Amino acid sequence: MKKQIYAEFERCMNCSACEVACQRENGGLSFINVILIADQFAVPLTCRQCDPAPCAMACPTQALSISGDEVTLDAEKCNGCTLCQFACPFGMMNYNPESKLAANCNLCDKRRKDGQDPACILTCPSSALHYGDYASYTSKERRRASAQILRAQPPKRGVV
Amino acid sequence: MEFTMSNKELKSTVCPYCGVGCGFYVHVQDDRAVGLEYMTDHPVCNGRLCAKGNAAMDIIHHSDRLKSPMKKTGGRWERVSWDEALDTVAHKLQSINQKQSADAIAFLASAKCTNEENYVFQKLARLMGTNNVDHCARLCHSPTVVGLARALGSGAMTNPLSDLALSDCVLIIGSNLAENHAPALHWIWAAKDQGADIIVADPRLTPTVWAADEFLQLKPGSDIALLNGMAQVIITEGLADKDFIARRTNGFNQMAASVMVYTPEKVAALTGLQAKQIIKAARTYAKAGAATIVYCMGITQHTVGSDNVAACANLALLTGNIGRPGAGVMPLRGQNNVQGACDMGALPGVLPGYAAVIDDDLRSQIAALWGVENLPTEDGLTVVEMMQAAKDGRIKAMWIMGEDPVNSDPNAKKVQAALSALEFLVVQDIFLTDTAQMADLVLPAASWAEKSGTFTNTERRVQWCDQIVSPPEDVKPDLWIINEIGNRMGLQLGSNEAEAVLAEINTAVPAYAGINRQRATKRGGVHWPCLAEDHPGTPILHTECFTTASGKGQFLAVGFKPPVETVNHDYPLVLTTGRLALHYNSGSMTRRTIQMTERISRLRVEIHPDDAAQFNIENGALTRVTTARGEITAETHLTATVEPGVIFLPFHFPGVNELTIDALDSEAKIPAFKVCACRVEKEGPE
Repeated sequence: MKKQIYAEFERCMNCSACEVACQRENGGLSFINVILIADQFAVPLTCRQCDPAPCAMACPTQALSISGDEVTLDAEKCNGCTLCQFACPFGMMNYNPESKLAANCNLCDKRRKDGQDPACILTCPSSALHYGDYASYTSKERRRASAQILRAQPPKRGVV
Repeated sequence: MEFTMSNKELKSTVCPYCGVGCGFYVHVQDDRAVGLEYMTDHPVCNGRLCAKGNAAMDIIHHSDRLKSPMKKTGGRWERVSWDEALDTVAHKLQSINQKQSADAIAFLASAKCTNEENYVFQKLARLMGTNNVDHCARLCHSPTVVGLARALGSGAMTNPLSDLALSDCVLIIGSNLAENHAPALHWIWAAKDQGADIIVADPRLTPTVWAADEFLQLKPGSDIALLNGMAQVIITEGLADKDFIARRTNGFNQMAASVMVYTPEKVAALTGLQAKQIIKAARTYAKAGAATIVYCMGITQHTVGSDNVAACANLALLTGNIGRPGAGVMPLRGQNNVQGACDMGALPGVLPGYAAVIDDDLRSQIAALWGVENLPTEDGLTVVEMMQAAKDGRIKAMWIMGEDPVNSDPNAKKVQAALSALEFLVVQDIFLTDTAQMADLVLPAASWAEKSGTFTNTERRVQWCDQIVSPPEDVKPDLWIINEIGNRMGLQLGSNEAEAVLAEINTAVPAYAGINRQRATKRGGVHWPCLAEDHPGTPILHTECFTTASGKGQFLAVGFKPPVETVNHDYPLVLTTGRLALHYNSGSMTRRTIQMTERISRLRVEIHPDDAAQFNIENGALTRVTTARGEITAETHLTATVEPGVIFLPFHFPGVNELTIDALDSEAKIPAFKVCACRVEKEGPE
């Protein structure tokens, strides 16, 4: 099943660790961004690796395509027109001002080839980021929710 | 310890920033740090790093690094040889020692340097004949050293951070760990996943509060009222652990009598909380199977800092929440080796191993170890006292190793005046800090990655760090610098090899007796006390008995006192200071790190919209903040995370501490950074 990055918004503390880690791995660009709303809510956004992908559909040169779990960029084909940025509903298609080409999260493909998870996942001090398929994420969420429900409404069995 | 991945040479190290002590690997290529890899099996962090840790490597090859010794002549810096620099320091210090006395010299050790460096540094001061040696622990956790030592026998964190995951309730008071000790947070979430209750007491709605089940937004400086109020509820509702109190503590009756006046209604009036919030928090903490108190500088940085710490310890003793997995008291330390610098005796009242300088037996044991007849017998001066003494002309020379008091001390204008009044100031650092700018001589020091030695984290975990890259050509490790100056003064200090110094520390500091390079290099190192080479170390303190003289935990009756500076007609608002996730202490490292400054480059003052309306302040515009000691201009950020009447400034930017007050806790001598009175005005033409 498709593996991608899931974020638990409740746990994100707006600490920027993921962004700084991503910058280090990607020559100064960060493909994960934490948005702070009303000083109290932090929303980490990354490329959702959509399939079908609006960015790829918008690309006039077919530089963006779906390959396996990822939206991949063929730098040879990219002409830097930025239409992909218009298309991304999350604002997560980036532009590299040095190469003047599109740039997006590739889930740290070099790291994954070494058997390592993406940098943002490993660094998150608040364990807010999860890398895996949707079932591994939702089953973790379900376990946690069950524990909370149980605590709020313990069964009446005469033992606590 | 090294390993290879994809033919990369990865060398392990411990983060040079805060006291959490996270491990990571540095990818080294041609003697340069070029990448970082996460250490997913590190017992403190499980691989996790904060933003600063992720960028820590950038410090190593930074273009601002000091590259050679420099002396100031006619206001200009001039490059000098190491020989000339070291001779100058030795000559100046010796001549002041001869003309006045060693007590006319003050030494600031460093919580950023290794145990071995701090040990040798304080040894030099004491062999010269003075106890005037202190460091920035004075400014963060000196009340912990005083308060916890009195209550529990040891002024240190009782349990490892991973124990947070075993707690049923975590009471976080005066700590914004989500920003300042971020990797510790994943243990809090692990606790929450098991159903733990998280209570956060803080004057500000910080990101730490986002993780809380209950938030107690108390008035700055009202902590004792809250803690005593919780104790009152616990006692009157019969929730105290009577068995634990009877078996393991002294002084219960006196403490209990003293807290009875702190009824929820009275505490509500003192703290600005509601009575029911106080009652609920007390019940949650007391009824938990295992509960932990986490505190930080919101507790310590007050004139009543030591009493605040005692009030925390009282709650833990009252409910038997100490000496068990998941139950303890956790002061979070701010620097990578602030615990170790204290353990090494870089404090004016104690020798290595907390041997009081006034204790004849303990002092003579250290004197014998060092091969001298006598060591100075009176307490030396603390950080803030040193500055006062320099200003008064009682201190003539200062040697500052890796500290930046111009930015880190309160009432900073007075600090600048004090340093200007010195006959001789030598500063040893990696950058030309604002303090180094005032020096007569600067000595370029190796960064953490360019030398070897041990660092002790907030959990008393002693970890060996190997040198991973060479220092720049004319830059030397602090240990070498201290030894060279000592040699020139005829003092036999010790080896330039950290391993050999650690062997001497084994004898001088009983808690470190069994810690050697090999054991400290092992993943996660060793928790002190480690009394022998075959002793496993001690992750949890006070399991059987306390380390007080009686072996019992000591309740301490403490009462609420208002902050020493209160709001008045001229200064109608409370100014409180603290830290941000993206910057670190005096800012000398993070204000030079582009990943931090591209996110936060300017000082921002947080003001509640109601206050802004009253004082005609606009969001985003410049505001002037004035106290009785100084003023500063900052960009305005209107936010409801502070309450009306309270404003917040982060202390990482120059000038903020020109505003703060240098009133001291009478015992711990910590300044009251956390509360002073101020006014705000719109900056610009009237």
